[in-house]
Amino acid sequence: MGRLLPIAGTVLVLLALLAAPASAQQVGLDDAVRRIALQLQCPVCVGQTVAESNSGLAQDMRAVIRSKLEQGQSEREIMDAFVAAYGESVLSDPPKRGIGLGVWIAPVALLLFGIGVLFVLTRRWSRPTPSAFPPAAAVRTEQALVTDELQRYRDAYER
Amino acid sequence: MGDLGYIALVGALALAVYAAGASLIGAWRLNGPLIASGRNAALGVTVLFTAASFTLLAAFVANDFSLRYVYDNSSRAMPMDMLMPAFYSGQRGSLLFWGWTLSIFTAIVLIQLRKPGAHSVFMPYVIAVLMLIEGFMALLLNVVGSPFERLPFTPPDGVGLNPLLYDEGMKIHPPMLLMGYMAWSVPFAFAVAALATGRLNSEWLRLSRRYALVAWTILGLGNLLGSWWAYRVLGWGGYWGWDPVENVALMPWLAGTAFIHSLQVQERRGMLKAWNVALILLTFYLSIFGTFVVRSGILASVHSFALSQIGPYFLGYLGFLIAGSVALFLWRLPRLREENHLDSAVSREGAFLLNNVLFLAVTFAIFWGTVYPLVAEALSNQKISVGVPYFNQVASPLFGALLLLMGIAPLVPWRKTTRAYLVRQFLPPVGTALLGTVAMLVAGMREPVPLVGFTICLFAGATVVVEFVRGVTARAHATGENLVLAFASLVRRNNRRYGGYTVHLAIALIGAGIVGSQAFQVQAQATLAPGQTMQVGAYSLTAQSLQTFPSAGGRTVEARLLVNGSGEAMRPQRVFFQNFDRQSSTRVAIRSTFREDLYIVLSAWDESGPVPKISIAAYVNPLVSWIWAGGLLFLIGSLAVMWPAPQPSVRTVRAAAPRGALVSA
Repeated sequence: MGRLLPIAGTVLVLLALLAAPASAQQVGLDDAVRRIALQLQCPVCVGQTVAESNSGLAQDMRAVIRSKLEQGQSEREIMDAFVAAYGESVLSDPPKRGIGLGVWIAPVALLLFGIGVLFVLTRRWSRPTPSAFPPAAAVRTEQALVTDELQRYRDAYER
Repeated sequence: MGDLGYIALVGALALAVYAAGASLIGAWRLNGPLIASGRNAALGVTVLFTAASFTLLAAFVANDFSLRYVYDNSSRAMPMDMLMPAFYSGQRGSLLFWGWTLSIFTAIVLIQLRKPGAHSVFMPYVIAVLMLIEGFMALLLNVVGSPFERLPFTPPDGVGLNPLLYDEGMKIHPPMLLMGYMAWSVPFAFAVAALATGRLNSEWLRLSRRYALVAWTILGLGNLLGSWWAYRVLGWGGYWGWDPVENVALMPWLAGTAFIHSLQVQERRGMLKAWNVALILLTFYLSIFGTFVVRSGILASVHSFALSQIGPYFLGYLGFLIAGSVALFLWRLPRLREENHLDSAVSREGAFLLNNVLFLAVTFAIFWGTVYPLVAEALSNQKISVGVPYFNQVASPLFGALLLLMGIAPLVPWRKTTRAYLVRQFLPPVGTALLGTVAMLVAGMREPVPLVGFTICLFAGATVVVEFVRGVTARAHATGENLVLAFASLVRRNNRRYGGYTVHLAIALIGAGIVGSQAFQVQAQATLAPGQTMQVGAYSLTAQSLQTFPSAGGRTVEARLLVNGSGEAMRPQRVFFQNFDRQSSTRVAIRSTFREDLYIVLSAWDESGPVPKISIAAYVNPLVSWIWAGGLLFLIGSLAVMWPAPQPSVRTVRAAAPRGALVSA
């Protein structure tokens, strides 16, 4: 699980927090840090973003984001710096290009395929099947009538 | 003492192989005594798995640290109520638990179906399949790693249970998930038996349905309890992180949900025979995949897979199961050719078909996102992460569409319908949902995602309520019963239908809880000295004190904060356990109301200065309690669906049909 890794590097966070003035501006800064941290995958955890992880590294990374924001860097610049340092795997949102594109395309393709199959099947199954064997068809019609009647009775009873 | 366990597991393997062989040969040669012998051997496997499990439990109770597994997962200080969590906390114990519970399930099935009947022809094959599955577990436990492996010497004390596991939720959610995975083996066995015998009519489906519902309920509860545990223990403010381990537990539940819906189309209309077999096979594969992922750590990286001892075994086994069952399926496909006839796409059948497409799409999207880092690494040697944003963006619209469909489908009758009837059906729930939207707009909500989300949940919930009201008033009108009695007998007589609606209502509640907590979570962090105050949402939190005191098996660090300056104190804690000094267990302080949760985590503290300083992460999580309330309702609804139907009896039908009865025909 690894969600609770050793509490190391907290001092940095403490310092950063103490340095920041407790004001409306800090609330804005908090949100900005969180917004960026949510887009970064904690490199030492499984399936957690930097915003959620309590690992030492994630806490350090949050402190770095905060200080860079205070220096006036933009979100773009900060993200680029992390990608340069850790590679693209640090992005929790896989990039929509190159190899990262595959993860986005396949589910959409499958959904469209499924809806396509559904459409075709619905059309095919809705067509009344022309029967080459009239006696059998006659029997089936009779059966269908019985089924219909039974169905109507069930519907009526249950509703 | 461990020797007894060893012997029991070797015996279980041998007996499982014998039971599978005897059942198959007995079925081919129509040899009754051989079939009976296979059946008895299967019950023997249950006895041996039970003996092995009790041996391990006894070793834990006796603190027998000469066994490596006991040494690794327990200590003298461990309280007795952590016995079961210690039993299944490691890989070997959890595989033993899996095999043991499946053997018990098998025994229950054999006892329930002991009398000869329409099912008798399936039973040898069912036993053979279940024995192949249990035998595989016994093989792993014998060959790869036995929980009864001895250490060369006996250490004085054990390492102790992982601190993360010290929680009430741990006593129940891992066994629920393991059992949820395990239990899909039974409907799978019936499907394979149906394929093997070629009897692909509705009999196997009737038998399968019963056990599939049990598996579905257990797995659903396991997922809910898992997120409840994560919410209370992991301390990151949420309940679902799209972690691989969470994803693989959700996937078989989603595929299984598709199955328990589409089987109704076969029951009612005789359609989708092949499709239902395919769905139950898929659900079972996903369950084995889930067990495998949870127990091998493959998804962390391709490389950890190579290190995992059981990885290759599981993969080979999964390959064997898939190849075998798909070959059987293809061989029988000609017999599964069906008379599919759809009167109208706008019908209950049509809605179920769409339901299946959406459920499979969302299952695939989660599967793909979970395994894609491995795929990308294998294809391009590039490491990428697929995190929360992917899953939220891809799964949310699909879940939204499913919720919408959940509101629509119960209002659409089987076969075909008329426009006037549909309008009459849809008017009340759609009106309710629109009124709700207007109310939210008036209240000042402007964000489109929660507006749409809440509206859909309200619509789906209103559909259920309207259906209940219609049913109860129609019954009261027809029978002259009062409303309470009419409600009771309606549910009793149509437990599948109204139990299903109750589950729908639970899902709508859970959906609203998720929408609310995702869209409106407020979060704040601060480092406080005593007397200092922080603000989160509408709450102000004033730090009071920090103290450390000894607690069971270790020590506890506790911060005290006052909420809104009143007398109400909240106490977030960190608990340290012996032998795990660097790892502490979070005790989140949660104040839960119907409206929102105030959720406080003690993230760090500093006692070096003259006054202690505490770092607090505080969250306001709206509507989270709705999710847990929905979970309870889910259980109630599922039990109602599973409840045995009343014995068929002669009923007197009064002359006056309930209102609206004939329109649906």
